[in-house]
Amino acid sequence: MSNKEKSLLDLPSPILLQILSTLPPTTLLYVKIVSKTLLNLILDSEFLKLSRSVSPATIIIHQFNSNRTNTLKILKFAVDYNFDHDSNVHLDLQLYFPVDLVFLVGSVHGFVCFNYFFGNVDGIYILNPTTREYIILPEPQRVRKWPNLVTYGFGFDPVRFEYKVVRIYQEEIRDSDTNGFRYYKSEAQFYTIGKWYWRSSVEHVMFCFGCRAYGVNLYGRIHWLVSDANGNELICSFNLENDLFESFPTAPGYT
Amino acid sequence: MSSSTKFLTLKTNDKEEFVLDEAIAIRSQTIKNMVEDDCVSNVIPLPNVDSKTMIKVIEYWKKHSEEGISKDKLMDFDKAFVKVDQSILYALILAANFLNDAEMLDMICQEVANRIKGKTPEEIRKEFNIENDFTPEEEEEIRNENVWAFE
Repeated sequence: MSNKEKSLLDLPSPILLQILSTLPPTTLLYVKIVSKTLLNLILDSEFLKLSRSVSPATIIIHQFNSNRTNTLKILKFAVDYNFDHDSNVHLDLQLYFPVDLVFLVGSVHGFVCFNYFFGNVDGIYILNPTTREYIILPEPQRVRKWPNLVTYGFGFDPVRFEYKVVRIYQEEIRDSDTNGFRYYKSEAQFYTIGKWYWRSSVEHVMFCFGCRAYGVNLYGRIHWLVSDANGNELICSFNLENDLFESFPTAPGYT
Repeated sequence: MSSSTKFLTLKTNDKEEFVLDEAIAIRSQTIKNMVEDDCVSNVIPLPNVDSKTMIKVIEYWKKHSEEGISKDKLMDFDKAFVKVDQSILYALILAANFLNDAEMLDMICQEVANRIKGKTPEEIRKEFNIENDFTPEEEEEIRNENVWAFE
């Protein structure tokens, strides 16, 4: 018998990949710190193929109304397609945000992103409901001020395993030649969680994103329903891997 | 119905011999292939498996081959089956991998994953005997990148 104790890392890497691929992303963030060997396995392209959609499907509901309830409810799909409704994970957001003006931007892997704005303050919070802890992002440049508009998206880059917040700043342009015809020049400001600074996209798009709907995160892109300068609707997405805008028409017949 | 039950003899790397009903032994894809290719002499050598591990594997195979056993009973059995030391779990993984029994391999890998869940990086290192091979600077950097998730 060898007196050296066996390590998990003695297992062949295909098996280690199989084990890691069943772990929820929140656990993987810890595993990344354990050792370089494990970190490299998680960054391996094989791992991405295996780990797609292993976290349980969850619906997050943000409830707030005039009698000052401000609650986050989390429903998980259970195996038998019922909801696993665990009231222990309801979060009273009043504890985090004493004001009501807080909006759910989106959630990825159980992390929830909120936008809070009041006066000149335009803040982004990322909350981990499991640990009840949150971070506040530093304020981005370009203050939200009417008639310019702001919207947000929260997404995940599956290639680099990074979480990103995207802020779309839409500057209103009024054309004096054409009788006050107005359109928007929009840029993306994006923040990679863990990197601690905002960056701006190299390009602009002449789309209006509005300020009510937040972006939809899917396959490494955040999508918005937008309108161009002529008022035509289309879908614009921001690619979280290369930080570029892409756009495509909405489905035919959709008005 | 087969006319008679066929038996196979499996020989582990510590020279122990196990006589097993062929219908049970072919839960192992590796053994099944050998039987189908007709390259089985009297004894099948298992150079990657020791007898201690093989006893556990056969215990699993027999239980999972029992006729009419309920799903709940099997789940209870599996639960108890994986309640072993880390080193036995690793040996079982390697055996299931060599014998190519995907069902057993999945089940044990899931157990390892369950043991990782809910632990801090330090606890994971200790439990699984993993050396921290980051330099202090590298660890500092990766912690700073990910600290938002925990703090």
